[in-house]
Amino acid sequence: MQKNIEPEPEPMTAWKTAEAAGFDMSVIEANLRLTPWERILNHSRALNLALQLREAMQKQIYGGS
Amino acid sequence: MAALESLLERLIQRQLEFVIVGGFAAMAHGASIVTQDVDICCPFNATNLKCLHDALADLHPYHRLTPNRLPLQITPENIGRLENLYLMTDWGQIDCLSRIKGIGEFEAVRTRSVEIQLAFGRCRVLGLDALIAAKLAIGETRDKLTVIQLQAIRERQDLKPGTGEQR
Repeated sequence: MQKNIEPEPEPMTAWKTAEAAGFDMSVIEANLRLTPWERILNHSRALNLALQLREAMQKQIYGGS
Repeated sequence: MAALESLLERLIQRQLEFVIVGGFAAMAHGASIVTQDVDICCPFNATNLKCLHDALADLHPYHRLTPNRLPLQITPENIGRLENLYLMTDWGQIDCLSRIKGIGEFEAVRTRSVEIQLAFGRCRVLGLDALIAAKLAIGETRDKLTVIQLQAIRERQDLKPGTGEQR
């Protein structure tokens, strides 16, 4: 009877470690296709959206115009 | 509204000597993190600190970790005593550090930095290997999480030589 041969497990690369840690590597992949300046602009948009959301949430909770 | 890129533009226009470090550097290298401040390492000499003060003067900079929000003042008396500045401005937070844990003083930081092109000029960012070393030296949980991403990016750069820190 032929014995099943288990394939060698792939080595755990840093990329796979990050993926296993829960990071969305497609986002990092996309970032790496950008120039540093484009990354900074994307970051700025994300930061300002987060700040606006926080402000809106605070207004909802604590009131104010 | 934060405008961290405009803060950088100011510093470049005023010819401040600095290297971008910390989370902002990690983001510039490709990490998917959002940070509320820009961290820079710079020489804390009279010329550079005066330059920093002038660059930020109309943005109402103050020491954000002081309870009474002391305005940024650079005087002959305090120049020698300053080591780090944790500032808030009209355009966002900027932290200015005279040394980086795991790397050293400004010259060591500059040596291990790379130049990047922005829309309004060129500036220096701590290189990937040095950034990983600095984050590991700090050792906080959030830094360790950033290191996981940076090491993955580093691995990709090994596959595409010439995109990382110049050694």
